[in-house]
Amino acid sequence: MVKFCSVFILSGLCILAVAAESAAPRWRIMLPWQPQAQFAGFYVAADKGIFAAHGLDVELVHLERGDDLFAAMKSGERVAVASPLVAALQVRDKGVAAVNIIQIGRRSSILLVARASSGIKQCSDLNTPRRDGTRRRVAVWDTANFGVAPRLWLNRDRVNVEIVPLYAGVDLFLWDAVDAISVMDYNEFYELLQAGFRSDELCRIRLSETPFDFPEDGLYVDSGLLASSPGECEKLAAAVAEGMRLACRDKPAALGMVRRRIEAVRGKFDFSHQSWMIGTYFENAAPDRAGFGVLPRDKFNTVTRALLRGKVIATAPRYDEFTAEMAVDPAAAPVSAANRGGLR
Amino acid sequence: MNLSVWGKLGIAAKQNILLASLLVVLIGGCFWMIRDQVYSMANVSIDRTALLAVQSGAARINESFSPITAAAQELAMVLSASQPDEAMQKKLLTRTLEKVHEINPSLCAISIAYEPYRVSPHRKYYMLYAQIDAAGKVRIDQIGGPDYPYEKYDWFVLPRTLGKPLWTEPYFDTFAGVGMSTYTTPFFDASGKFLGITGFDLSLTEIARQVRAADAYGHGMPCLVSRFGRFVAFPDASKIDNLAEFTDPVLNSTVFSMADAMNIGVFSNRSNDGELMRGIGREMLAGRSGSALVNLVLEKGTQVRERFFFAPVKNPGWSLGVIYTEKELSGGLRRLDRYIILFSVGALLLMLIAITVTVRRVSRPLTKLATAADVIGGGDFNAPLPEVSGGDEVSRLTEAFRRMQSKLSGSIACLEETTRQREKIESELEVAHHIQRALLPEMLPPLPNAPEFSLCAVLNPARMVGGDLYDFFKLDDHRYLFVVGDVSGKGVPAALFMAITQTLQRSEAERFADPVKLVTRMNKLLSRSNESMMFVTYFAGVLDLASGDFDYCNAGHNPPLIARGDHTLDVLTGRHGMALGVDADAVYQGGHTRLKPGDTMLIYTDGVSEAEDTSGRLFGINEVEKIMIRRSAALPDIIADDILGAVAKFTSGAEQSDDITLLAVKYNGPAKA
Repeated sequence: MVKFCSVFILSGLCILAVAAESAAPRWRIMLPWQPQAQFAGFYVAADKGIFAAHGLDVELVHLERGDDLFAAMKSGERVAVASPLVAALQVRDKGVAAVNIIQIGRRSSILLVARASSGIKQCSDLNTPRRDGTRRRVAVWDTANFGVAPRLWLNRDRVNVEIVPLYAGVDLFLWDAVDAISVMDYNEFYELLQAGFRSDELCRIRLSETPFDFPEDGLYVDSGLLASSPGECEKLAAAVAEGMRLACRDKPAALGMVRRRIEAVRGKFDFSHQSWMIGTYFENAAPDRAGFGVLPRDKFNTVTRALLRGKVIATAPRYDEFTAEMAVDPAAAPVSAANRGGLR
Repeated sequence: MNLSVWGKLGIAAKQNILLASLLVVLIGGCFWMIRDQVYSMANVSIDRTALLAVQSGAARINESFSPITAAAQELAMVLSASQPDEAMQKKLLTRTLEKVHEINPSLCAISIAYEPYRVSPHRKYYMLYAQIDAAGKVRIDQIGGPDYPYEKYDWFVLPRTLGKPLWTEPYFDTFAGVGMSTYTTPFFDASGKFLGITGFDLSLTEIARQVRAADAYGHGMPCLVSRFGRFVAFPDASKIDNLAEFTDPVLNSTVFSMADAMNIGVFSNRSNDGELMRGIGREMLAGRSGSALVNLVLEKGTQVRERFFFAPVKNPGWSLGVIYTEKELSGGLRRLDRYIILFSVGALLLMLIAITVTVRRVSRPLTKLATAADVIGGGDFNAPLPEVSGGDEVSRLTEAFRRMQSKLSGSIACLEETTRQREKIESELEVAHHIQRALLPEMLPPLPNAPEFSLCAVLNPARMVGGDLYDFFKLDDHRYLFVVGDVSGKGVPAALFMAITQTLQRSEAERFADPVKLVTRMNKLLSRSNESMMFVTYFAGVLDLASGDFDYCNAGHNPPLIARGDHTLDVLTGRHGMALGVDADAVYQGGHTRLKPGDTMLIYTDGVSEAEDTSGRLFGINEVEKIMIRRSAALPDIIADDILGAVAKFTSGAEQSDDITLLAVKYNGPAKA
């Protein structure tokens, strides 16, 4: 009888444990582009069990061009969105209660690139007309994500240029259809190098060295979700921070995970490009440095003032509303015991 | 005898080594010169052929683009001149697509896209898209809209911005599931206002086949790269080691990303190969034609030197390249190398064998001759010689050797006979020597019956027998005769003349006790029948033992010396006539001196005064005179020994040139009763 009771109790405990396991909250993280090295930290967190170690069941969802990043957030489900700060502020302005739970990108990765032979070395040089007397043409993204900062910068300096909407890629620049082009230093800039340019043949103007140094990627959740599940959000942020740190420390191993993600969607992996991307992206993100994890208040204020002045947004949230109090301190975030030896 | 290794080698071995060395140098030198020239010419030819093939391939690809560009321009012209009538445009699209697709089946779609709101202020999008469906029929759809904002895409923006047609960079078309490039042409209205774009979508699937045709030698890696370096086709890229691990190059990577990978040690082990590849890429993008070297790690993991040939495909502004492994490219030349080396080694071996056989044919008789020479040297003059035929040098040498053997045999027989004769003569001379010695008086000083004087006489002939003579004998109770003579010439004739002289003086002295008469008589006798014209210098003196008076006659002889008891020296310089045997009527006079007790008289022949040393200098008489003075008190034999010792010392090492005769007489005074 005692034996029967013991077996019954043990069986019950096991069922409870399995139930608890299967009851791990299921999260979706919406990533704003197809698989690439930019998201290596998320892949590490997923593939190395960091999310699971934090008691989370996380699905990474890659969105396509034109998809509404924050659409899923409105569903009320456990959704986190990896988004540039500017895009998050814009959706917040439109009523989406997005709250930053971890800031990943510390600075702007946007460059304005011109041919060195064109004589353009700074923004004001764009005022000089082309040889045929027409205005200089500058290709700038027409998206809410990255096109805002360059446009605001060009507007503020009243640079007299023709802005050519840029949908993707660098072909406009390669074909010499524009005099300058906005690129991400971890992505499109390498495409220019891949097209045969040497670094010294290109003049780079970094937005991170202007007042329009808008921090980029952060992870956002709905404020209601944050209020109802603050612990999960904190764990999610901690897991992402840990994934970022590990990816940064062991980039070759992280690249292997990037490759698997790319090939899983029948994409083509290019080692050189993705190597460049992971290296450059983590120069900007730098998860081992102070400032990673928490959106700096001054940066927030700078960005919101610029967006308001440029009429990109009508209203700006307060910093305390926009950033979660429990936002992860990267210095305090522990590395999961299973990953203390690195990714291999 | 120590011989070096070279010295121990036989002629054949030496010949082989020398000739082999020479041939290796000559053949090797010729080989390298020829090889250098052949390589130089062949490489030029190989390079030219490879480059021509690439250029031809590029031209063929270029041609396949021409119908498309021509049709696109024609379509743009029509659209520029007409209003946007959808029905008309569909017919136009159908006709154009069918026509061009028939020429170039890779053309899979044509589109007409108007600038938003250009067709109508109420209609933003207008894009007709005509494609060949699965049944091979042309299907046309309107596809523009918010889901496909075509006006944002490069294929629309670029020609609109640039105002000219262009081939877009190759891309992967998700709808068709294949790689594509679109030829986009802007069209304008009569006022030059931009209306829209025509797009001709070319599938890149078939282009890989055309790219392969540029491989002239069948083992290269052809590739086609776009205007900005993207790989359009690279059918054999998998030959590059681990390439799949790093990229799938087609539509994904560029020459420059490959160069970047090489810079960090992927595909290549050399740090500067990435820069070489980058340089090649820039040349290709510049639309140039040529070749360059670069190193790649291929399938087997070994780094190989590659030659990259490239030529522009002008219509799309792309570039066609073929990468050849330099080793394979010059494979034919390497086979030529092997053939030449094999031929050279074979020829060398054959020549060495031929030389060995030839030299052995020569050296074998020589070896036998050497053996025969050893036997002959051992005394067997009948040693067999090798049989040779023909008239070559070895035959002549053998014949010469045979003649030498024959002559040597005769000469040895002759020598043996001569030796026997000589031994016989020497034996006879030995007898003659004893006979001649017997003619001389016995030396028994002091004479037992003549205490008045002491005497020593020495005759050392230069040869077995000589021409000198001496004699002394008692004439009566108180007188002694002393004679010394020297016959002209040497050897047997002189010995015979000496014997005659010695015999005559013995017989004549008994009749002529006076020296002058004796000499006169001897001269007459010796001059008779002297056909050989020999003569003898002659000194004869008679000593009176009681008084010491000495009467003498000197017939052409060396003047005797008298060492006085008071250590003075007298020379009996007077000569009383010529030598005996010359003139039978010669008249001789005499001389007189007196010896005092203790005086020593020395009579000698010119063998003493004319003794020669090795340099031909004469001994002279001075040393004899000094000895006489120094040893005047000594016994005659002591004086004689000193003089002979001085002569021997002077002539040390030189052959005795003449007979040496000494007769020394020491007068002791009258005998005491």
